[in-house]
Amino acid sequence: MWGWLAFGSSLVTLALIYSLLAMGLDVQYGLAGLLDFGLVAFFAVGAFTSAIVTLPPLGSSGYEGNYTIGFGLPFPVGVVAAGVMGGLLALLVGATAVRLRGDYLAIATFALATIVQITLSNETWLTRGQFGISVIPQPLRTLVPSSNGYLHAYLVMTAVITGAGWAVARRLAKSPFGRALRAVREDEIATRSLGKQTSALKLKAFVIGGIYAGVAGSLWVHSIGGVHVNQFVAIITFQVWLAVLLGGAGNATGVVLGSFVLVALREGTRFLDLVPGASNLGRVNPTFLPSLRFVVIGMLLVVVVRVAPDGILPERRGRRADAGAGSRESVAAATEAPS
Amino acid sequence: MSQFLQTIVFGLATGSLIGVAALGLTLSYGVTGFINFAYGELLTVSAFSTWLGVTSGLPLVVAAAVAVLVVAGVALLLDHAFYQPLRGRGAMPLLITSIGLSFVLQNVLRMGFGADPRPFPVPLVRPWTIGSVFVPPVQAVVFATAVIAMAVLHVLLRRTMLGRRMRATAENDALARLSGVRTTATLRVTWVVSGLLAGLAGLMLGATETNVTATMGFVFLPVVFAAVILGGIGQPYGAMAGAMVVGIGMELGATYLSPDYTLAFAFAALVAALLFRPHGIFRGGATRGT
Amino acid sequence: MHTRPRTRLTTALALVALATTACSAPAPVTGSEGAENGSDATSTASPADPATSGVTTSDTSPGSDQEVAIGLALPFTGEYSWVGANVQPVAEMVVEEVNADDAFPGSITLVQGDTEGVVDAGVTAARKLATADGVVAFVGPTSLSFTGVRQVIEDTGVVMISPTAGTTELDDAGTELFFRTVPSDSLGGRAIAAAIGDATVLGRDAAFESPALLVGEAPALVSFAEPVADGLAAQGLEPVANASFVTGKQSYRSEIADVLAAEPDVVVLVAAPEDSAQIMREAFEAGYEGTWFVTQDQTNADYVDLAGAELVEGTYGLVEAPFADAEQRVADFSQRLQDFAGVEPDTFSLNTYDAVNVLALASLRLALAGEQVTRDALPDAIRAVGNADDGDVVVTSYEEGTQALQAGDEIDYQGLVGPVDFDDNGNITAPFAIQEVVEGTWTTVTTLAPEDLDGP
Repeated sequence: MWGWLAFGSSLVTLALIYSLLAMGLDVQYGLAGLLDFGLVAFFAVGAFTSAIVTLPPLGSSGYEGNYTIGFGLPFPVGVVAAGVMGGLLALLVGATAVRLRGDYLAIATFALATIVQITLSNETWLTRGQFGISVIPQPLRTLVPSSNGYLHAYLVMTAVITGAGWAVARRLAKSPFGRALRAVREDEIATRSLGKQTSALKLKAFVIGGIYAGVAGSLWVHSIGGVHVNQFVAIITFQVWLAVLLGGAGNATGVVLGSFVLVALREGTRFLDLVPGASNLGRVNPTFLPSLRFVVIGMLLVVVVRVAPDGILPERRGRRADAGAGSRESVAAATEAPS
Repeated sequence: MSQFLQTIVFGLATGSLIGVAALGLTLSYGVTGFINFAYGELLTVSAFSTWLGVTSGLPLVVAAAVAVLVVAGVALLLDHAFYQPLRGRGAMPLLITSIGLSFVLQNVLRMGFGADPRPFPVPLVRPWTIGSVFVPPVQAVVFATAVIAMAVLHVLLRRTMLGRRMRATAENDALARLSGVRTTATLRVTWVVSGLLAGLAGLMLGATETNVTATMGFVFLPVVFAAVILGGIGQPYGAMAGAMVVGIGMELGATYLSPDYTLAFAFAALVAALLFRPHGIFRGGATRGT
Repeated sequence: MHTRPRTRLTTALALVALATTACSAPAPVTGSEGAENGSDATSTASPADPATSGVTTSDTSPGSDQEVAIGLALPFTGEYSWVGANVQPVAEMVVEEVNADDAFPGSITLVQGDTEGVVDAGVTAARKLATADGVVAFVGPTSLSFTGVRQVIEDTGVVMISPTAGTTELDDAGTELFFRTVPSDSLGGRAIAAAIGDATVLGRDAAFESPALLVGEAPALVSFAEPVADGLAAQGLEPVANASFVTGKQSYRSEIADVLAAEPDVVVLVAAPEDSAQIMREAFEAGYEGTWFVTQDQTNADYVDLAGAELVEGTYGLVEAPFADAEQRVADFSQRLQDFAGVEPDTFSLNTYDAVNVLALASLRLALAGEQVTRDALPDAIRAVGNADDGDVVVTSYEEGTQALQAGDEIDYQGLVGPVDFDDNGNITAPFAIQEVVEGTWTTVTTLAPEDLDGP
């Protein structure tokens, strides 16, 4: 019983980390209409930053992890550093790419994320490449002696940070800045003609998304306790996209909900062996059931876009400046417009 | 010098493989207006079908021909079931749908065939040596196939009524309809042609990688994107030229700079092209929309 | 307008859920077929009652029936799903043999946990096994997943006994919870170096003079690079080329050209099977006529099929040798596996057999002593049954082990891969064989005992 509860806690933690990622993407896409297909790069940079910042300096006694650089700073520094580095990378990427029109931006960010992944993989002096870094410090671990208890404690900490992120995202959406972003999303040319610096607005949104993803990377890496370049593949980006679209782009609460549904779906298939006979099916073809998980995720992307493009909790229309535009289709059309 | 020539030979082979794939992708973009992330899986399906055909006793050529037709059918089916209903809603829903389909197809293949790599049945032959440069015959066939595919496509686009309709639809959908082109039918034909090219590219990819896995097409896709974008998206001739730039550039980078960063070079070129020549480095006549 | 999309989405979700259930619905049919070829529901079903298995056995009194859950923390999807596919039937076979024998008071169950061969899913899978399923031991993980699973093991105290992780990261991990029944890559690397540097080992007329090394950038592969290079250097053979390649490229011709430019007479190729097949062909097409030396992943019949017999003729392969006096037992094992699951032994089959047997015997030893099979108790029990101590009765199977243990003896399990004696870091030594493809079939050339492979 306690075991299930502890595992439940670790899953909720994972869902909250995905929520942070989804809220970051939501600022980029939901508010500003930016098609970021390289979100995982900011996540990766945040994860490695936080790991390296918090690992004790090399040669510290009694420490068995394998790594090459460590600064031995406390966890809060790691979180902040991860957010800063995520934001800086987003600034770098965004400064070059953010003015591209919709689907070009998608491809450019996708390519840049791949370059980041290749770089992290090749620069073994920093990341230990294919060996990865293991036994990354767990914040406040000494305060909670039981391993199950620590899963609950980590959940509380993640919930606090994600909750803060949620509050910020909500305020952001209601602020003049948020309204300006939505205006850019709906009609960039019109917004520009009103005297707004649309590129600067989009860049800010892009950087905020990078910060969210960086912080999420920090929380992830300390929850897992190890980090390896192969963790940061494009599939993560698209799962976050599913969370955002499913929950309702433009609505922070919605995308959090979407993240929980995503994690429930993805990890739910782990429990399929509780269905009588399912393990015999697994014997016939061991890859069958686990592959089914990704089929379900992929199918859901298709279905959501088709039948419920506004997601479970749609953005509240009343707040829109141009109430007539009405639906996400116009956004899609807007992202196609020349920039 | 011989190292340089050798690298160029390899670059041409890689470029023609990317080129055929890029042609199919850019054609479908031309008329549908979205970047199809599930395109890589069409290549995978082609390679799998060939392996399946040869395993069940068909001669290689027959199995390959069947595979190409199967892929055209799959392309048409996917369009009918998933892309067609979303027409008129802009690029984003189609983009996301294609990502979802890519996941589905990869994992359905894995559910059906397991995860082991399968051999792609091509004969093993020693290279031809020309001076100090050697040419692997299989790669020569890949190159020749690309040239033929390009020529056939050129004739189709420039010399037939069908091609004219396809170009008209690609350039301006609404105008084409006003001028009496049945755009839906043209769209279907374009999907078939795009599927045939994807099928062909899948064969070439299988012959190059010598084995078949469920993720082969998806892993290959970013390089194809690079070629398509470099060439100016939606432009067949640009795609072929972009593919040659990417192919030769990758091999040169791998030989003279660092093989570990080969893919990074391709993507850096892609991003640079997007920033400085967003309509492609070989911008020709009319481009779509923008 | 506002509610409609929501209802439709709910319907869609329900449909997906339905599809998921529907896909697993035909399972009972498969199950009955499975029962005919010897499967037993109790050996594979996951713990029926989470309340008892979740806390494992601590709430039952000593001597009464114990439910011992063992987690298969292995990749069942992704690039390395073949590892899970190879391990699972062997583990199920051993568990069924254990449960059919009534020496153990209770039963052992296996729970599948898909690590996807990656770090993060590995952690989730291991956490589920450790918490929700309450397993006392992991069979697994693979080298890559170990990066993350390591933390879970150290946190929860679940014992790990990996039949697959050759990574040098485990050479001196220094925790009593890590065991493996696969020799370290550093030993394998030295075996390759020994075979290359000494003509007599392979029975060649002359030793190789200019070896080259080509290694794929993947976790299971890179840990080979250093031991091979060091081993060669120890014999005064500096590799003429030492290259690595990034996996997943469409061609590796530049890397091959680099290596071939150094004119090697033998290339040690450490790569995944699909990349190896491609690299060997591309090198052939580049005119390479020298020898290849490959590692465990390629030294099997599947690889000959994948790459083509013509291409791999004359290739040397490193493979773990069955323990010198285990030849007959390996043959018996093959027959039993064939009867049970209809498959031939494959990579890691023998290692799995030893790993699960050691776990079963350790559990039995605890149970017969009236103790609970707990995470805390297992490490010592594993050492007690695995390692040779004075007065131990040598046993080679679970059945022999039960007789000796019931007779009150201490036992020393000797397995199919080796004597299974764990050192302080939970590593074993095992003999290696060098095989050569002769007329399309892997044929053993020689066997190298671990004592021939001196450490650095």
